[in-house]
Amino acid sequence: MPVFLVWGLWLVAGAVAGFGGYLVLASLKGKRFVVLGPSLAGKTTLIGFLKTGEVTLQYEATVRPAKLNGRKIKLQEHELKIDSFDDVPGTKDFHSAWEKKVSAADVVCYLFDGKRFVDGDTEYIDQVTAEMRHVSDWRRERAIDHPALRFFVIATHLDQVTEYRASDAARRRQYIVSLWKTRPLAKLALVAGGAKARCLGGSLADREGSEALMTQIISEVAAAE
Amino acid sequence: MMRTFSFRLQAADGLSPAHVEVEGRLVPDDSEGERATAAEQIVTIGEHGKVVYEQGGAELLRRGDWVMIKLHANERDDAGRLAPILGWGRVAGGDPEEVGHALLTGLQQFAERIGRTVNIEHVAALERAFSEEKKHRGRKRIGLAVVIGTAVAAAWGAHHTDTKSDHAQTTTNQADQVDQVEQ
Repeated sequence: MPVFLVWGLWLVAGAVAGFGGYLVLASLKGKRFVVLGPSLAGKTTLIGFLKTGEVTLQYEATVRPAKLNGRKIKLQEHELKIDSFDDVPGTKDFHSAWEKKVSAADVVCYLFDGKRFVDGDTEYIDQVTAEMRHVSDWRRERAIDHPALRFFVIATHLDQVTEYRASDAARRRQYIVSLWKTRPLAKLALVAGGAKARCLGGSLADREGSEALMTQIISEVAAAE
Repeated sequence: MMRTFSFRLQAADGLSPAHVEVEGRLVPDDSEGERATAAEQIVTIGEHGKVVYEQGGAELLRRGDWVMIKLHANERDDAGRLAPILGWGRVAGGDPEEVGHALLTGLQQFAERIGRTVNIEHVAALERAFSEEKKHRGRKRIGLAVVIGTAVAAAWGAHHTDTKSDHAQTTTNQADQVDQVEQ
């Protein structure tokens, strides 16, 4: 049964400790989706996909907030009408802007580069974990007034991990589950709020991967309604 | 008129603090307050401002007294993405061409200070955009003057016609009265 959803997509770019960019989607049936994450996590790629239905390489860093017109898109059985997109830059100095977006959100998605976790890039892992503490604080504050708030933590760029890339769909799901049990990711999940956070993974490198990831999020949010 | 502008370029690695210049000096990495103020100004202009010009990555925005430009550095970031530089400030009134020249000059000096160069085509495009703004404002002023002039002339003409007709009416009434007296 197709689900017709009305979104006001809100994109915010932001991050902690010098990261760049976060994006937000807003409102599924009037709900606001906030997409956060460090620079190069795939936020603008995700917005580009939702805006055009195609995956395009991000060619320009997000440096100022921008309002973009929405459109109708079809994600498998879901038809979405996105009202608009707001894209706000990242980095620590934009924290107050992201915090405002989270304080009005119904769904918060946090994207980060999962490949760098797999590679053991300690500087990146530390920065993302530090950033997650802030995001988690904002989520907790928001949840006081809005207990139904959903929080997704998403490891992207997994197409660059050989084990993931070489697997079929079923094995990829298993890989993601096992990945979130590895030490740095398990810690990140804990900082994110443990059971309060839904930990996912995937790739935004192509249409299929982007569609699968977004459909999973939309389906879970729609099912919770 | 002396104006101070602010400038910002995101760090190439996406991790380090951005390069920010406020009132002619580079803001230290740990000056979180100044950085936050600059970011708030960017958010306010970016979210609520009007894009006056946009072409190939170069942009000119206005919000009230505030102006903001965006253009690309020739050097990309570490991920190979185009790296835009922002320049913005408060300019109450003023000749758009002069404002544009000062802003673009300041931005190029900022870029040089942090070891970058700017896309010269974007500079030229934004100079033209400021010139167009000036022409547009000039045309608006002429148009407004014509509208006001026309309205004043029409009002004067109407008043003059009313006066004449009142006078004619008065004369007719007086003639009627004379006729009545004579009768």
